[in-house]
Amino acid sequence: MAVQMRREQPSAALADEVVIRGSGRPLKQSTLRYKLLSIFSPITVLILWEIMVRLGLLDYRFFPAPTMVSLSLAELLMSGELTEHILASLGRVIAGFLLGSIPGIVIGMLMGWSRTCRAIFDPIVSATFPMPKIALLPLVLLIFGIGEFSKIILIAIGAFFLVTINSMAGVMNIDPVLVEAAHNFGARGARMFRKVVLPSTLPYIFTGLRLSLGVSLIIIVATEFVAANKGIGFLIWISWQSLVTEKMYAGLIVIAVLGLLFTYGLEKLGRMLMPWGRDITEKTR
Amino acid sequence: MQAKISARQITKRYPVKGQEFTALDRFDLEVGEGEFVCIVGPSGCGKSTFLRILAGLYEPTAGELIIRRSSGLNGGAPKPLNSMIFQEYAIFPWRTVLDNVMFGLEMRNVARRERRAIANAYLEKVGLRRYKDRYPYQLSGGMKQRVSIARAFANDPEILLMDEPFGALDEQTKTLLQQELLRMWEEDRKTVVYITHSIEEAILLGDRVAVMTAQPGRNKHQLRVELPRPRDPKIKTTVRFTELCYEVWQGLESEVVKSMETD
Repeated sequence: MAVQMRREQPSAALADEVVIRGSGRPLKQSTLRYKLLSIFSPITVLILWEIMVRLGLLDYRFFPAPTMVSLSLAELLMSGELTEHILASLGRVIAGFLLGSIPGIVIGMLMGWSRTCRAIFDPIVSATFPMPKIALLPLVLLIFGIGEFSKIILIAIGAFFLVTINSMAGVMNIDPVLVEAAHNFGARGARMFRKVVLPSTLPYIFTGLRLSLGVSLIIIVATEFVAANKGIGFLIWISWQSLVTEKMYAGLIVIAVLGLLFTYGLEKLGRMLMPWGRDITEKTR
Repeated sequence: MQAKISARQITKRYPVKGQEFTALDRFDLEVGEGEFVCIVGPSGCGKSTFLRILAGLYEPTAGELIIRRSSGLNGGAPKPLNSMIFQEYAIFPWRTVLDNVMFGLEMRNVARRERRAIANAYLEKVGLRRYKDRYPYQLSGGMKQRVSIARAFANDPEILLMDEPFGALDEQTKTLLQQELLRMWEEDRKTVVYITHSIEEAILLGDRVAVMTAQPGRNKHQLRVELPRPRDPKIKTTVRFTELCYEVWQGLESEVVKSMETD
């Protein structure tokens, strides 16, 4: 925009009129620039890292160069060792996640819908929720032994609380006027649940699922540090103990990628199940 | 002639913070078959509460409400007793426009093909046929309320209950929707109870206007709107219209002042 003060009388102290003219500048998309910037910034960091290791400015024993890490990652993949670790961790996460979140959805929704259920379960949930679930590991090991099941149970406990609390919040946040409208048009009981309560709660349930997936990954890595002989956590731990740091970095990358894939997959599933939800999912994001 | 709706001495009290709050106090209203009655009152006077009692959503604390069925008596198919149109639209965000309009029919187990045909016909009437596959978040306020109107009409109830349906809309959209509503109502002249805080709207639409007092809601006065039908917004330019508006305002003024003092 070109702003120009035109003075009719050269001697006057104030302009008589303010003229604003269109700039005639073409409209251009500037988003590309920002996209390129966000692609190049991590690449630059990696290149700098590589150069500094090569120049001996960074100790390769602590910070192996990106090329070294990639090589070790490729080796782990080729030998099939990595697949074995990934499958072990993945199996535990998925089993624990399902075992925790399904009852979480049911109990959470019951708690949201019925005041009686809330009165019964809320004190128990509120009292145990803030406890870091990892602290329960020794207890779980004591009860279930150092087998697969204790790892699955611990993940289930972690997932359960987050899904329960979010599902409850979802039911309690249903717009009452929607329930009134559904009631007025004849929805009762199971149909009220299926046609109104469930779709209305779905975005909150997904928030709970996404949060509990993150927690599941934390728990699986931590338990595998101490109580496993397979899995990504075990790989990271054993590589640290034998000071094969490139392998440790490879493990870290794998766990990051797993987290990314889970989040992405869940988001895809959410969008598929909730095609209406642009505004809703963004609100709960 | 027997009244379609007779509400006698309807009282509604709620517990609010340990105290009793009286929303409605011995409110009376008679509505004839096919009559369009508007209830006007200051905000917070309990008019929405009364409508929800008519809808069967709330239970009155005291009083008696009689609604006389007129369908399904001699072996014919019974119609739903009432359908409500809410100020907040209350359409389901997870349903498309078409699915929203079909909701009542679906709850009544009308066959899929039939409910689709009915819903499409009403979408046509409110001019939303083109938008039938959209989700509510893609619609403007006026369009959302059209969906809500189509949903209620498609359900074909004996009584239409409207709770300030155009209260949240801008003036121009409101005028347009009032016109559409009048046109649709003229087709089968259902019994309507219509809540509004707009005097003009009450006179434009109603056969009768019932004025309520400030909280707790009681009967203030009523007047018959003997303006000819079918009506359209042009009627607002007549002297009679303005006189009627003033008549309602005379009764309402002191109540509005009262309701502002209690705030």
